Amino acid sequence: MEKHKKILEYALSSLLRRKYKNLAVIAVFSLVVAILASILFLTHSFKVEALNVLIGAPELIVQKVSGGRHDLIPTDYIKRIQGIYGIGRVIPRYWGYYYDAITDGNYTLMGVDEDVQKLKLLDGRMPTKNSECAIGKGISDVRFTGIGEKMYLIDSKGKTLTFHVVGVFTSESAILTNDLILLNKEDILSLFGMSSDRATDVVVQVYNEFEVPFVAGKIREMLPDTRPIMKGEIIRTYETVFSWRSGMIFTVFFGALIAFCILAWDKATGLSAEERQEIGILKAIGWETSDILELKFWEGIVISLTSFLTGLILAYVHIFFLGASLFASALKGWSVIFPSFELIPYVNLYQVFTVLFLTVIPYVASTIIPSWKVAITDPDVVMRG
Amino acid sequence: MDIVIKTEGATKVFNPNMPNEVKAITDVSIEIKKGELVVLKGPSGSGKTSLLSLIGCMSRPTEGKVIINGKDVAKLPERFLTEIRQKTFGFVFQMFNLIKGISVIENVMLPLYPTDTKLTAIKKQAEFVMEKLNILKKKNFNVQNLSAGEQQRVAIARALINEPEIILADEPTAHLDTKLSEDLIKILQRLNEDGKTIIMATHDPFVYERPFINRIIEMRDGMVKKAMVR
Amino acid sequence: MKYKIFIGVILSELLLLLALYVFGQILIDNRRDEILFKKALVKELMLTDLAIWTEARYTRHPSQADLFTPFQDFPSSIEHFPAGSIIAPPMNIKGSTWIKFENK
Repeated sequence: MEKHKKILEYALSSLLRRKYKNLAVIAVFSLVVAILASILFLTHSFKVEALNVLIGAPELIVQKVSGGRHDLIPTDYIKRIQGIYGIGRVIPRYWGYYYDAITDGNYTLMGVDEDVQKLKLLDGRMPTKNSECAIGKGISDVRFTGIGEKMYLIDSKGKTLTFHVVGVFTSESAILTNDLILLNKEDILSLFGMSSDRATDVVVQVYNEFEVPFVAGKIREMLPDTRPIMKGEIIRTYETVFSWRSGMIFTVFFGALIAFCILAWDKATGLSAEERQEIGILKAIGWETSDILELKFWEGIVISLTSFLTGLILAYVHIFFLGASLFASALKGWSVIFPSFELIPYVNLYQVFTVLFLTVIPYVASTIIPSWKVAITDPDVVMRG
Repeated sequence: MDIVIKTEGATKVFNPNMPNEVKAITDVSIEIKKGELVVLKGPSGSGKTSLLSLIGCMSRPTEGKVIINGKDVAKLPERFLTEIRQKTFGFVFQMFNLIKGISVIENVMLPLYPTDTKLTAIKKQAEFVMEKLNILKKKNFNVQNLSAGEQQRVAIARALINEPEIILADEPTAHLDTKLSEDLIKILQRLNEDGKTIIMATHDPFVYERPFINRIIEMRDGMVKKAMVR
Repeated sequence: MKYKIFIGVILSELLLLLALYVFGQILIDNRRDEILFKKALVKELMLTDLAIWTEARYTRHPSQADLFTPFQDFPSSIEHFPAGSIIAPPMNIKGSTWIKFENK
């Protein structure tokens, strides 16, 4: 134990000889780890929250497709679907997009029934009659509108309609409601100019979740111009968000990995004459090969472990305390309304250990391996150069 | 007196079977007794440093034997050689070979780092040795900030910290002026009087013409030409 | 001694990480209700997507978008919207009910 402490002591002295260079290496290494870990924390937390929340999504949505595009679905399809065995309620949904020229933002408008239950994440109440609306926090912020105030929307005929804001969703629900405007069903139909025998799509409740694919198949057979979307597909969509296959994440991740490889390569491409000489001297004064390798091990561990832990801390603070602020502008894209990320700190320890193995171990190896050949050579040969 | 070092037909070839092959020493057989102060004398390239390296277990002979305290070290595994280097020898190099960028005291302590002795004990031992060599007040200096003579004394302190029975010194006066050379010779003489066996390689007459030297082994072209006893 | 300082630094960082992790677990616990409320909201309003990227229809409702919209100009067109580079295409397009039945 004493021996290891002393070799570590010397490793630290050795690193302090090139104090500024090694501090710079630690800074860069920490940044690389911070970026890698930030991406992993962000994607994992996001996915877990998405899955936990969207598990409440409808079992089956049926859209009408026309010319390969999503079309409004006739409401008489509802009766036909209802005839399929194993189905509960079939509920039409009325929703669409609204472009707001004032803010240049896109909103999602949804029609709701009067019997929608009171929601915990809503301040105020749901709209129960015409000319009332509940809005998302994002809309409330960009339009400077709150409960008791008015919201102006332009309908399909160019007429300005006035809605009284009766509810504003809380910021905790922003990830679901940020751009939502909830209106009465009649208001939605009038705003979009939709006829009453059409809906945007329909929600199909299936008693037995294992029968959903079968029911979907039946619907497709019965109504060939429809497209059933199962809950499983909805959830799978969000598994691919932020996946490594997506361009931006791949670019950032790969960039960070390449930076790391350059760092490790600099170490791995051999020792300087001074480093070789030093190993020769240590061997000459009584250090064994294993002691030299242990010295190099400690040099690698000091840099890589310090950087890894620092990077992890920075990543955690960045994602879960600062709301991924460094990535925000890249993630936001062209969205005018964008929810602030108050991510729940779900952490996958397996991913953390993966980053550890991808960074610390290669770096330590790239420190030890170039020294191996010199360490096993007779000191006289090494010192002669 | 016991024979502590013996070589039998020792030969050393560098880069064998290659275009830059060099036969450094050829068929050298010598004996050194405990407590002797022996000088390996010869011009540059005569094989003195190579012979010292073989004796100090820093390289292996291509042919022949090197026997230290009765053990043939030529065929021993590396870790046994390291143990012998650590416990038996103190080496003073021609170029000092101190580690730049670390302090004097850390340089002196280095040979004992890969042992189980506590750091505090090693530090104490280092301070003791440095005090004897009058270099203690510079213990926290970086070695590159010392004069040649001071660096030489640090090198000697490092060679002595493990209390070796045999000290090997390769051209110890090469970078010293007359006064410093004189100081060095006095230190080595004192160590010899304390019972240490000392083997010095030098071509400096200022060293080898001293009366307290027990034996001079003259080398030329990698071979022993003459061995004189004083 | 330097090694004591180094070990101290590492232990401090590990402790800090542990504290952050424990804090995170407490936060998860505290926000468990929030998740339940969100799930209830999704169920009540019959939502299918998160309200994150409002640039385009297929980025706002990726689970509802038809398979042609992202390629609306031509199949190999460069992605218009930054958010489109964050959402990867479905892992197994062939596995969707729509196309499976098409083949049948």
